[in-house]
Amino acid sequence: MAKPIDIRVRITRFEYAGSVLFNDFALTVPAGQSIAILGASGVGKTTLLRMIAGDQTGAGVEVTVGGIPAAASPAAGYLFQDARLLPWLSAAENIQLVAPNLTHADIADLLAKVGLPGQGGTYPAALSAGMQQRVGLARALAVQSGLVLLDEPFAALDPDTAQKMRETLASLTGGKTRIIVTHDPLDAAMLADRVVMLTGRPARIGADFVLDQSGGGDLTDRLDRVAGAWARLGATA
Amino acid sequence: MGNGKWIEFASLVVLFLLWAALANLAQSRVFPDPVTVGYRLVDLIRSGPLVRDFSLTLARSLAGFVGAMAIGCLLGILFGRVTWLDRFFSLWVVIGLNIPALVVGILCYIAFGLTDLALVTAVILNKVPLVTTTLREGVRALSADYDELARIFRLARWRVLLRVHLPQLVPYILAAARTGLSLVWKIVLVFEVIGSDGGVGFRVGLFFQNFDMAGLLAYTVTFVGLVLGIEYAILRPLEERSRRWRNP
Repeated sequence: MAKPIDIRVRITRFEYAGSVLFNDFALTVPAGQSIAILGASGVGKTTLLRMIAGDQTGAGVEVTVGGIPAAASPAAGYLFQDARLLPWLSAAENIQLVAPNLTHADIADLLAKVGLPGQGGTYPAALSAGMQQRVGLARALAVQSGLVLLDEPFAALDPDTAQKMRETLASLTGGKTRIIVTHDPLDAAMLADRVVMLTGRPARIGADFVLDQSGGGDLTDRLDRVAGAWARLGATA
Repeated sequence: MGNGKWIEFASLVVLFLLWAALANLAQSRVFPDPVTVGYRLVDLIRSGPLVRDFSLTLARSLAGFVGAMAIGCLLGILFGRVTWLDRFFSLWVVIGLNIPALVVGILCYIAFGLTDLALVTAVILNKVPLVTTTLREGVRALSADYDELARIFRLARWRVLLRVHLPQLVPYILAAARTGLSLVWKIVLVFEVIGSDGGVGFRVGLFFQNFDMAGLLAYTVTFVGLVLGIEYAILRPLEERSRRWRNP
């Protein structure tokens, strides 16, 4: 498995659509950490994730991924909110698109791991939203990277499917650096060992705390902690 | 054969029967029945001109079609991608779309003489603006989401072109090919009437001068058969192949 990767973000100033989105902003993610970034819609969560993915750059933006500027770094595993599969490619072809070196057996194995055995030849139109998102997860895992970026990956799914996906994701991406952008405290409680909450405009870090995922405290406690912090932040914002 | 194809086949049979009925009702030399036209067709095949004429017209049309599609696709992609280039040439495209095909043909004949080069050039000049416009719209409609996906996963340029962009452009290319093909036939035939010593258009001109309705209809039937052959053997299978992912 690829080695986990550390991330450093330093933004002196970044404007988007005529408004200052980030001003004197810094975030460091140690290698192997699983971090959830929470914030209201429009606060800049996805922009931040795209900066780490190397797709959003700017004069005041300095992001390094494993010590390399993000735009020049190799691709990370990325899971979009909408799965974003190319509809004219089968599930297997969608995976092979981002990882051309994988064999058919590798891809079949990946699909089996995400709960879609034997679905390699199926086109996205024949898959449910949950199944498409699973293919999206397999595609993110196909990239040989120690970094996985997740952009509200369960927002479009029903609660049951979302829960199964969280469990699959947790089991398959353990050991990698994982950044999940979400507005759902449950995502953070289940998947993150650190929570960063963004608030205001320009965005600032309103809360930054560690969650113990190693067996200390159950899910309800973690969820209460995240939801409580979120409520306090909302009250003071 | 699917239900839709049976309906299309039945429609063709009805058209044929309608022709036969009307011809028998009219009993006129200027409206021969299908049997008379059939005999004339066999005669034209045996005596030689039909195969030669269709080969010539087909070769000219193919040259014009391929040339126009290649140049039009290239320009359409360029104009769709490079805004200033599109702005600069947009008026040229509008002018190209609106200059009568006949004028372009005559200009080419004057410039290059009554040659195949003039004819094919005229066809290309007439069709390129249409292909360019269609492809430009296709490029403008390319999904920004898929471009983002390609950037994030660091896809190689050729892979983006072949696997991400081209499939999105296929419907536009097929639309340009379909409309373009019908346009090319018409232009080639008109130009052959004006200034050529062979081809379907040239022969149609001769039939006109001799009031040979049976010959004219024999060529028309052959022409329709050819066009339907291209439609069913090439265009529709291509379209179905390009759309198979929509209804897997």
